[in-house]
Amino acid sequence: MTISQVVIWAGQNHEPSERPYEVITTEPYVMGSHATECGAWASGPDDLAPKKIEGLPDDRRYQYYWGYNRMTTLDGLFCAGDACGANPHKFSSGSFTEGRLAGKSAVLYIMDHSDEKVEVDKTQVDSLIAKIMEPLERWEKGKYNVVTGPSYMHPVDPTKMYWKQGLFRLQKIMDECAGGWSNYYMTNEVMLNRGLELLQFLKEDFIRYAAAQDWHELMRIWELWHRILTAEAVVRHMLFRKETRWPGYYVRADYPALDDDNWHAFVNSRYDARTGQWELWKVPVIHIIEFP
Amino acid sequence: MPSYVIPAKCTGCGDCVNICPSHIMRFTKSGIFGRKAYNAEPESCWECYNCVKHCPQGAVQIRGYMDFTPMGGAVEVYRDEKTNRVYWTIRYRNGTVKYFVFPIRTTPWGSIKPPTEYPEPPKEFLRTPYLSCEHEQLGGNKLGVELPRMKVPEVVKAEVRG
Amino acid sequence: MVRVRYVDADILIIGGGMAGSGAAWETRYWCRNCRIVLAEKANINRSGAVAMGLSAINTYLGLKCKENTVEDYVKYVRGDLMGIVREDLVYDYARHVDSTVHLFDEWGLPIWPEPKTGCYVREGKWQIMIHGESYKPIVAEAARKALGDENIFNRVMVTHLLKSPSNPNRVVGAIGFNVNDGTFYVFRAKATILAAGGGSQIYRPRSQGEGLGRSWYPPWSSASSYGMLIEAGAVMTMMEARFVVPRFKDGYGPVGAYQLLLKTRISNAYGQDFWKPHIDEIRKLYGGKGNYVDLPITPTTLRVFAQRLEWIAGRGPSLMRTDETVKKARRVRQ
Repeated sequence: MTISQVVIWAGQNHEPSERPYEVITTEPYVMGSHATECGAWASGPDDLAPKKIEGLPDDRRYQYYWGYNRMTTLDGLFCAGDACGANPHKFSSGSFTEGRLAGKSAVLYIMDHSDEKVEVDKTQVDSLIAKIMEPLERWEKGKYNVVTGPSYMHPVDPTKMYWKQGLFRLQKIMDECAGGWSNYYMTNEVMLNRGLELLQFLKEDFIRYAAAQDWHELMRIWELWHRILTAEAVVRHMLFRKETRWPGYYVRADYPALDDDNWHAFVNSRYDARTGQWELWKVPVIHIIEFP
Repeated sequence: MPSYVIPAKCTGCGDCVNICPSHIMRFTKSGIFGRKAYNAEPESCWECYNCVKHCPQGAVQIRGYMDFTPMGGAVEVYRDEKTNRVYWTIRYRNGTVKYFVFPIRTTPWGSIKPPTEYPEPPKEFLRTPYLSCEHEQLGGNKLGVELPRMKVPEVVKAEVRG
Repeated sequence: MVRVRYVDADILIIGGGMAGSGAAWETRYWCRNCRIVLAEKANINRSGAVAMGLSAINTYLGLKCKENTVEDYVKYVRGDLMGIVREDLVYDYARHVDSTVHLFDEWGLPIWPEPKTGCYVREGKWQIMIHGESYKPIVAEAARKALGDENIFNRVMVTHLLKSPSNPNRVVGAIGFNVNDGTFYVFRAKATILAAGGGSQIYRPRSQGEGLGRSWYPPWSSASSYGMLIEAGAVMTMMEARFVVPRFKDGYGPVGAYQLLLKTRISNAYGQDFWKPHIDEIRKLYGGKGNYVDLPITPTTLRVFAQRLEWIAGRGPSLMRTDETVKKARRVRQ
């Protein structure tokens, strides 16, 4: 239900029974629960997931199942809803259901690992807290660098990037380079590579200049960080898949057709936060139900 | 915007501040009339109407986004947890008014039976695919059928090309 | 000075939307003496993508009434995504989803009943109609009763996952802070369920003034699921499948009821069909091994693509012909 639509129709005196209304496509979203499938690669259920895949290199043979339904490739971390990838069309009821599946599986996991002690490194925690606090401290320290207006106006300051300023940059990069609406959802390798380059600047700027005036803005700035990392993953994946699989969602104009011979596969990736390196690879689609 | 607050009606109770999913309803810092709520970040507002629904004074309302909504229309809502009805009033710019009433819940608030009131499930069921309420031994079978299963080969052949 | 609170738990749930609430219910059902805690960025009563309410449940198979089979559902989802889904995962949630909906029904969610058959009114093949204004508060009540309010941490935004110092592949909880008062929370947990949101506002929305927040997916869905997973080094999949939805212009109001329930057609600006003129070209480029163009339900992505070809040719916008069906529907009802 989007009440906004009714607010607009009331303002425009629009009667659906009298005249048609425009339908458009929205800006792109990155999701795992609606009619698409971004998210974590997870272990399948014990009775449905193929246990072993022959014909792949040794370290890639057990890619569908590792013991616990909906567990990500990190031990003890489960995913559900938007977080869990490659299983779309969950919507509200399916997301709740996947939460139930992950929940039951997590209980089984802690039963199996009851003798394991949870340890957290105090220095890791302290350095994380310091990192999370940094945007707030940066603002506190440099408050009087420039003349500022009322608090709702983010100042123009060469030493700071506030959340909305960074968000607009991100949105512009993604829209123009990675198939947004302003370009009729089209992109190509040149645009995507340029997008990556610009995202890299944004990442660096976030690390050096992110600033927040209060706790609310600190939330917004970390939301921005999550969005930036996600955007980078999106662009890298789009670069990797050299075909157009979902033309309504985006067209790789340099590979404008669907290519089932080479790309009937998942694209998986892993980011190493220490080195900043990404690794991407294909995983075969196993049809447990007759295809087509 | 998103939502706006009528100062004469707002008592500063904070129900809208407490419920807002976007964390954008705030209190004014001071003022001779005491604290009031306001929408501090209209561009992060989804028009979800929760501040409107949860205001006990009817002090919060919505004015359509100026980007694309001609002024003069309005959608008002009153949500009642006692009769379990939501009442919508749609006021068109040209004066037409429409009313809608919908049920919001078929059971009293607070009546959900928590999972702990179901008999404790046998531990061996943890290794079966059944979820709660899907088997006679798990608080009844809400699926209405036996849980669907299929045979999947343990080892499959596949290759990755390109 | 930063205030830090350590919270020890058996299971930590990150996010109290639909998935997080489902996890709360089920973990408590299977483990009566576990300490289970949930961190939610907003207020669980109205958080996540269902905060506003919904008018339909889009996934209900109707196994009890023999309306559909799980196999057909998997084929439909696979087709809509042009052949690429984890069929084991889809089959798995699909075979359980009906019991979830029946629980919602029992809890008090008003689902439109079909009195003759004892089933539900169908919006479409897989969708049912609800009066969903209070969908989220009802589901939240179940989650709150399962965990107890003392174990639900509202207004705590989790920003990073925590790893074990001895095993870099083991997640042992998460860290976040209260967005009102800045208290830091260090959750230490034996298992962590990540059920945060997807990503809106990553691409430039069509409205960028006051209407910036009027994205189709809520502005508070900040891709935190992916951000945390990526930074922690989890394997991600299909991130290129970021998608767009066809919706009413500006308000992004749902088109499902008009399209599926009332069978309303979409035309180009001149009342003409948008699909047939492009079908040969689309079949040639995107027919693929799965005969995607000729599936019983045409994949959304192809229908959207055909519409866009009309726009690029200058025959836009697409129009939802509510003028043809709404009056008819009213007559039928009377």
